[in-house]
Amino acid sequence: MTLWLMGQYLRRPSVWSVSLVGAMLIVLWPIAAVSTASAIVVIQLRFLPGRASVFDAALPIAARDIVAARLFTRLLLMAIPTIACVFAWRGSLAAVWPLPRVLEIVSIFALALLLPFCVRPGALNMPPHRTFVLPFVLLAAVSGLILWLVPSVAGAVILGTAVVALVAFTVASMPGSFERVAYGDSVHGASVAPAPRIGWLSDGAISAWRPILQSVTPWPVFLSFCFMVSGGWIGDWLLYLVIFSVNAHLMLRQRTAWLYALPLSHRARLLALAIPFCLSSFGGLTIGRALPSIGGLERDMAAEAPRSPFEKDKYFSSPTRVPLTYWKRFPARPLPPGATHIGRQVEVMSPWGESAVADTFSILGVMYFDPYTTGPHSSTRFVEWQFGNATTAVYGRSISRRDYEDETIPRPPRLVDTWSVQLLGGGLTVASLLYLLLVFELPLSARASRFKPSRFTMVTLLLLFLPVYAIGGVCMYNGWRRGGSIALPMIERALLAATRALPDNALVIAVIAAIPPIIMYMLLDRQFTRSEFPRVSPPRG
Amino acid sequence: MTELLGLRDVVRGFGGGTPVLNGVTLSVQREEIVGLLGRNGAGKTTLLHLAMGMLHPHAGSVRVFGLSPREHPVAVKKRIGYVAEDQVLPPAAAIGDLFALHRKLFPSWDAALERQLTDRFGLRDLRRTMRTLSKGEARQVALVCAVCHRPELLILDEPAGGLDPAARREFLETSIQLLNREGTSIIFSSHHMGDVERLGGRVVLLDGGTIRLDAELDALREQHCVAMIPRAPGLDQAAIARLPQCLRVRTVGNAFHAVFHGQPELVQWQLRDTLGVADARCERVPLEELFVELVGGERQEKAS
Amino acid sequence: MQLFIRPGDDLPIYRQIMRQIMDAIAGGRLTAGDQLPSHRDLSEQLVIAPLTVKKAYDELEALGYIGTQRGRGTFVAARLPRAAAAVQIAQIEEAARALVSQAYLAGMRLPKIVELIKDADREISAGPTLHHRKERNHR
Repeated sequence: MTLWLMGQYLRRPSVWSVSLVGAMLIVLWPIAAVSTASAIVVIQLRFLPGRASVFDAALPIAARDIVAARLFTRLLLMAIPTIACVFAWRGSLAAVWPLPRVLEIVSIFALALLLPFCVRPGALNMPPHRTFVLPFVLLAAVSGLILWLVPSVAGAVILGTAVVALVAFTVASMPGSFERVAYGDSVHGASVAPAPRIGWLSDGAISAWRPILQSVTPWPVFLSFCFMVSGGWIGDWLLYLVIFSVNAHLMLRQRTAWLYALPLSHRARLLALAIPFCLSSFGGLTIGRALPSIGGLERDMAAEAPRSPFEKDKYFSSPTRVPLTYWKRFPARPLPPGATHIGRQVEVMSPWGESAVADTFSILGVMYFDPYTTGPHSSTRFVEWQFGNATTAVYGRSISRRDYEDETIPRPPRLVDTWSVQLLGGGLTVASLLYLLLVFELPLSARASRFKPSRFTMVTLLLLFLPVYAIGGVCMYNGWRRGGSIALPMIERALLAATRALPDNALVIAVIAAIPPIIMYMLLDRQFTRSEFPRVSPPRG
Repeated sequence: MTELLGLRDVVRGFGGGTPVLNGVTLSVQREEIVGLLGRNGAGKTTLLHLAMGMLHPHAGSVRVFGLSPREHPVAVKKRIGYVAEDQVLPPAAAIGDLFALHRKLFPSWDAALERQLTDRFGLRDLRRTMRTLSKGEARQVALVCAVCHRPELLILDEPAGGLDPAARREFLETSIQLLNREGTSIIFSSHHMGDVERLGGRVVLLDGGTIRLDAELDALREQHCVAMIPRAPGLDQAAIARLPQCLRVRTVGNAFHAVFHGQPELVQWQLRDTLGVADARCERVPLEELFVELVGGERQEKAS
Repeated sequence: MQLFIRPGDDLPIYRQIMRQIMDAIAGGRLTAGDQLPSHRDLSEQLVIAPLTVKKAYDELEALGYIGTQRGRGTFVAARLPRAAAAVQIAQIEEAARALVSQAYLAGMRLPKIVELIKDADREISAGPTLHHRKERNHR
């Protein structure tokens, strides 16, 4: 019976497709393992919501079977990415984390998935969200301690046992049938003596706008905020942006449907939708980037640099590695002084004649080379010289290697962290967020309703998300081959070039940074006047 | 300008295929009550959403108070009250906060009426949130929000759906009081024929994407009758359908039920005269029977 | 005077009101000069639309049973219509014949028919109650 139920659940394509996509991502883009896994956790919570439905509870199936089926389905869905993780470990993930640690992390995510079942397992309806705060905090604290203090193998064993124990406990403590539980604040009817009138609520603006505020801040918005903070902190936030902001946006739409019946102008509704969305995503990102970096993920020179050689004859391990931001394109640009090329090999030559073969990287047929490479046999002098060149490019001034590795001397901020680049980047990010809103607004126009909703949505999303898919695909492929990220460094490259081209005036840069968001907002505003009451399927009344 | 709501040749569909509304023309004047009837999926909610400006027509025009609800949404919605069965007010919002919001959005909000209605409905604790209310109470809150600003037009989309009979009756009483005191026009869709008969007025039947009937309720009942004709060899449905003034024929078991426009005695005479049917029974019927006969399905009797 | 309407009845609502008012006048519960409730009051009392009440009143006024005085209200007419009495008598004779023939078909005898008529008279004089049909024992 449990197996049959699991089959029924797995038949829903949305459920296992997420898992498969996650597995693909982990294999192809190992650096994104953590972000992907957390995204999978969150998305599973939405697609396979916790308890049974009233329909399930009315069937002649034991409640224990239903809960067991759901628990095992979730574990199964975690298993596919886990296997992908193990497979990826044999590739480049090993450079980042050893296998026991990977298993630890997987167990922690499995526990997070199973936890919502374990609070009052016999209840049919989900307990209020606040009852889960304590268990999740405990889980985070305990897993943090285990990750930190206990050696990986022991930790993996402990956590794995915890998963098994949790499943067994939940299934065993299930009563024979589900029960609808009334939690605290669901008091119906006027069975209580009428309370004295609470006067007229003070006419402050807060009271009137509170219902709208409550509608525009559902839990995915907060979740998106948290993930954007952590993504900004780590430095790898593009995936979070797409997944979490989309999730938040969809729920925002559902929750604000009631505003359509009120006499609010299009602009008011647009702002109600756009502001929390942009604030949570962009605000979270800004806060994350502003947080001081944690040990090991410093924004040092080699952060996000390509590191794993797929071809054996490439080095990719020089002490002067820089991310793709600072690589030069080949062969169109004038080569830096001292660089020559023979065929598809680029040699970098120092003033005194020593040379090294540059690491190259080709993306979509365009070749890039690292002008600050040193070879495995280069002299110390060459390495020092290249180090100085590299730090000039990254930090704006030359730093000696000894000073760089001395932790007491503070490093200057990277050029990409200066305000001008940040302003331009911020403007672009906000513009992309608004672009995302625009894409989701298109299927809601009256013209779109002539077509089958699924087809139109699919066409629109495909057409407009094509650049995202293309970039993502390229990143994933090259990330698999070489590690490091591609999308963000390339964007930073363009931003650096733009800052160099523009005058060093704060006002000018601010104005130019503001142009893309403003254009997007105007397009969005125009589209909003054409959009209709959002609904999933045609009304049935 | 006495026309409050005007739809002309409105066409609206979803996702290709046959449009749900295919050339609908409807006009609601001042101080009129219009009841929309139709089977589920006939387009009643679509029509009301079009009136509210929540949907845009693919063809034809919609005018509310002479304005297009799409181009002047705020001006239109300020003068309309809307209650729907599937209206989802934010679950975390307190009743008092919702009232405060409406007070701010509608300048013509009448605080005295709000007080009177909340007293009457027994909504004493305004700090309760929407998710703790029963269905009837939530609908009452929606009704208070919809009527306290004295709208000129009240749009009700199955307002009594899912309510117990006492709650339905209270809803009706409030609507009638509003009608009496303010002269509000009401357009409502409902499945409860008892409520439709109580509210009287015009009855509009939507079927197959168009308006099949649009008449005063009493005239409808008094000018139409249903003939129940037992099956006989040589008598087929099409022959009955061809008679003038026959609106519809359907098979029910071993008889035909036909809706005619005319007096029962005349119809009986006509049946005898034209088709030789002597044992038909013609009667005037209540609204529910009329509805079922007009839009109900066929029921074949299994050959035994 | 209490009126009672049923929405699903064979008669439209306004006709039910008319019938009940006419019954009340016939049974003496409403006499000439009694005031009837206003449109609004009756509509709110019975939970029906005011226009329905107005229609009933208009029809009764056309038949001559009631009259409206502007500003003062609606009252039962001082002189009830006697015109076309002959037509009415003919109708009542026809109804009597139909009643008797139907009763004979059902196997009833004359004394029983007279008893039935007395019961009806009592019902109309007392006014409609919620307990509509009294149980009749078939002897």
